[in-house]
Amino acid sequence: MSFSPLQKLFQLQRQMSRDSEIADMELHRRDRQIGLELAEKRGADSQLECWLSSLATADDKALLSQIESGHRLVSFGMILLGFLLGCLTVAGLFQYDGAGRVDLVWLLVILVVLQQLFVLLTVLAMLPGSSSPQQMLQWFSPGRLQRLFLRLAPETERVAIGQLLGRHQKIFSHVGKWQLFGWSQLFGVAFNSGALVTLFVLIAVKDIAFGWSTTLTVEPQAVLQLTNFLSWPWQGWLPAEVPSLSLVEASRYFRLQEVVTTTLQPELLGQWWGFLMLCLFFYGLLPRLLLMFFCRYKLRRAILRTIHYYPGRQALFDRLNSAIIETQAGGVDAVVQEPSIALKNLEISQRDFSNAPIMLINWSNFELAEKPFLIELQQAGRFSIKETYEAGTNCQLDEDARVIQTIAKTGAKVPVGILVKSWEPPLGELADFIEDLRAATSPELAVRLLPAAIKSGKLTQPDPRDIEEWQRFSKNLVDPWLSVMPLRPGSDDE
Amino acid sequence: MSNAPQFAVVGHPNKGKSSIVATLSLDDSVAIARTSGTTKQSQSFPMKVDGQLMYELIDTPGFQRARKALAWMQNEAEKVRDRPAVVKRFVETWKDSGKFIDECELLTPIIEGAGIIYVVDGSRPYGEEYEAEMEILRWTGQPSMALINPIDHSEYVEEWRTALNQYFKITRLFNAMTVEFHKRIDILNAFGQLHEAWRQPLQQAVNSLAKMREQQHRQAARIIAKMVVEMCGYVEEKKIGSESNPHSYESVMKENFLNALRKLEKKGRQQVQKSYQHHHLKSEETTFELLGGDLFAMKDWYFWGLDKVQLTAISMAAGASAGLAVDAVAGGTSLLLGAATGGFLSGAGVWLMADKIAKQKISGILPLGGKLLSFGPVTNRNFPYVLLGRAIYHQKLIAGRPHAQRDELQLQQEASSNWLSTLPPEPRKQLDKLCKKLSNQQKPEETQEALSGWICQIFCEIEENKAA
Repeated sequence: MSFSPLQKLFQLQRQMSRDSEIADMELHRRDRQIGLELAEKRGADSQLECWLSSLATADDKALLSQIESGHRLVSFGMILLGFLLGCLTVAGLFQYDGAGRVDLVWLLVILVVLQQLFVLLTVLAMLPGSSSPQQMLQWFSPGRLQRLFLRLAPETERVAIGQLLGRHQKIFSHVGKWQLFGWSQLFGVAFNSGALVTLFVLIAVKDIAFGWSTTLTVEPQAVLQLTNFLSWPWQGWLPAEVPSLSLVEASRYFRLQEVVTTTLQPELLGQWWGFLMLCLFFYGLLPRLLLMFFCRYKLRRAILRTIHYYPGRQALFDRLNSAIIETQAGGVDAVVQEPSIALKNLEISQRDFSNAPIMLINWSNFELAEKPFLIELQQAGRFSIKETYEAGTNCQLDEDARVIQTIAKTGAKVPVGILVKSWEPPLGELADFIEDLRAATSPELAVRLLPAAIKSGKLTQPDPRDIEEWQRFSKNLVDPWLSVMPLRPGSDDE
Repeated sequence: MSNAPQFAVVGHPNKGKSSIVATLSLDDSVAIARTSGTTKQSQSFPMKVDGQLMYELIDTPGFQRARKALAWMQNEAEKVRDRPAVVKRFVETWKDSGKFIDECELLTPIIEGAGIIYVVDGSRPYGEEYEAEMEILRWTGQPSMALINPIDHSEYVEEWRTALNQYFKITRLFNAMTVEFHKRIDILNAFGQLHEAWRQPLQQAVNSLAKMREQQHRQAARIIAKMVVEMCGYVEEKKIGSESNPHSYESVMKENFLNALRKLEKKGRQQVQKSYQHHHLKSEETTFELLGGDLFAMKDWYFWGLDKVQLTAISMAAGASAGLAVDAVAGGTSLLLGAATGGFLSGAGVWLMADKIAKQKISGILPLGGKLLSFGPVTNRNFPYVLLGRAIYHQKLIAGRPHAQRDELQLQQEASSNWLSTLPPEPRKQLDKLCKKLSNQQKPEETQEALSGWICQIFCEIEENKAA
């Protein structure tokens, strides 16, 4: 399907409005699919046209043809009205009963001066900007009669044309402006054409006598100067149609016409028709024709410009020409695993060992051979180490089992402390170990996890976030005799 | 099954595996927490270009019983060559047993052919307990590399590097929370070095990501340009009765006007965040207050835009050129008095009005009676500079923000000098012209397009400078 510029703009507006309801990713998928099919279309305009064409529905196509017909209806109405008005105006001005004369002054005022004034006002209204006087002038533009003709059109066409005239959207304001001016000029061309045709017909079927008269003291030479001035466009190639002094003098009449009719040459009085037709052509039809072509040019430019700067157009080309890149987990919404124990419920064990003896299982691979470090540990935990065992980390599994057996053999009466690295997360392996230890000893054996942080062989303050992690681990094991007691340097002084 | 490379991101629990996946997959919805064991099941992040799979990242749970698993495997394997088969047998044996759940989950993609990305935390010391899991990974026989992710600091990076070099051919430092876009691309290129057959699809993926980045910059530039043009031309209007006193509406209209502009800025920021796939930044994080205070805090205008002296200089230049036209008409008889007077008057006007935002106007009598009050647009010449300064700074933070970051967006004034002073002369000249057009409301559509191009160029230059 190919579009006229007007249809293209309208369809673009319609499609963009529909697309505003669709999610970005979905739009990209749809447009990229079209873009891949248009791989050979390089130009932006042809891409846009193909894109519009591929998305146009049957309803769109029907509406687009309605817009064209609505547009034609208004244009036809303007031509018809302008032509009729032109005919009627000239017919009115040429009311001639064969006895009197048609007044040249009136003809020139209405067909030349007044028309020139309107052309001047039109040009002023067309100037860039939208000042209040310009807006006021636009109110008097015959193009506004489009409302009259659109009443004859169906509702959809009325709305569509209204949209193109910028009634609802600012972006169409330029198109609307030149569309109205365009119709006005069409009206002007039709008016002048009607006037010319009527003038010609009247001249052909009637013998019309023209004359001029004024209350002011105006000499024929002055009138001649005026007619010479008006004849400037054609005096070089149609000198016969430039009124002569004798014609001007002969055409003058006064209210008491008997005074002058004595010198009248009746055949002379009809010679004005050529001058009048040329005046009407050069000062009525031609400026309107030029303005009409200018408005058409401006309208076309306004439409193309509106399409070019249409919001979302560049984004559309990006969607057509950029690959869809997906990097995320498709279709699966990530679910943050909430910790099974809320942090606020976690409490650090306030009970210490009160310097009681404990069996220390070194699950951290800390170097315990150093005596000062051992002392520091005991001070921090307020316990005394009865026995030390190595398990976990880089020990063999059977070593873990041996530790459990040894503790079980002692009767499991002494609390057990498990020294762990506070910064490492608790693992399933430790949970298994505690479970095995519990199974081999007593369900009431006090087991404390002792997270410790060390730096350069000395205890440092563990990160509270790490301690929370250990507490959560302890709670998750659901063991009433299992608790966490972080080892903090200097805690014996508190 | 597709031949696209797969990479299983594995390691100890809570060492930033999910952060790395979030950053590499540009996905800010990946569950990341300080709690260990956040990832319970493997999750795949396929990278597709127009539906064609380029590679796949697999986020896995951490090792929980590596020592036990290795002990089982050591018991099963008699010869070195049996090791990969033993790992496979391990998974097959324990998969549905309820034991070794995490190990089976993380080893499954590897025995199916995935490359290994082993992640450790460079801010925690190396420990021997890691050796069992590294050994298991070595047993799989799959191409592997290690990433040191310094979550809090880099104190133990070298210690880790020494240990990891014994198990992995490639070891890289990769901070998922701060890494720049080009470094993410570098890492993907490094993945390609693991296996000859993976190089080409990864190169393709890297190229596509670079193009996507450009597109994101273009989109962000368009959003900002539209926002700036809209804000510069915004007018608040109100119809009032003929008898009403317009001045009684001034404060309300001014407040509505400023709020409308704040809303436009906020909307623009949210759209920029979306264009860089930051969908989950909280709305509170995007309020203008965070960006060095309120949009209309005049004291900040001189930080984001031109200072009083620069503003005056620009206006004097414009006034002088208008005055020159008068001099030209005078044919030199004015001894350049027109230029001097024009420059002085414009400069003085701007100096006096530098802190004025906008004026209230009564537009005229309405056809059906009453008056139309309007407030705006912002007449201050500094406004476009301020808007652009704030928007570009916001974009810089968003574009550089890895998708693993979950903390609040910290929008604070940079201590460095005014952004305008960092612009090279030519872009600065173009900016001055565009800002003049914005202030004068000249051809907004053309200005918007030109501004969008200018902003995009700045974004690309910032990116290039970072990569350099």
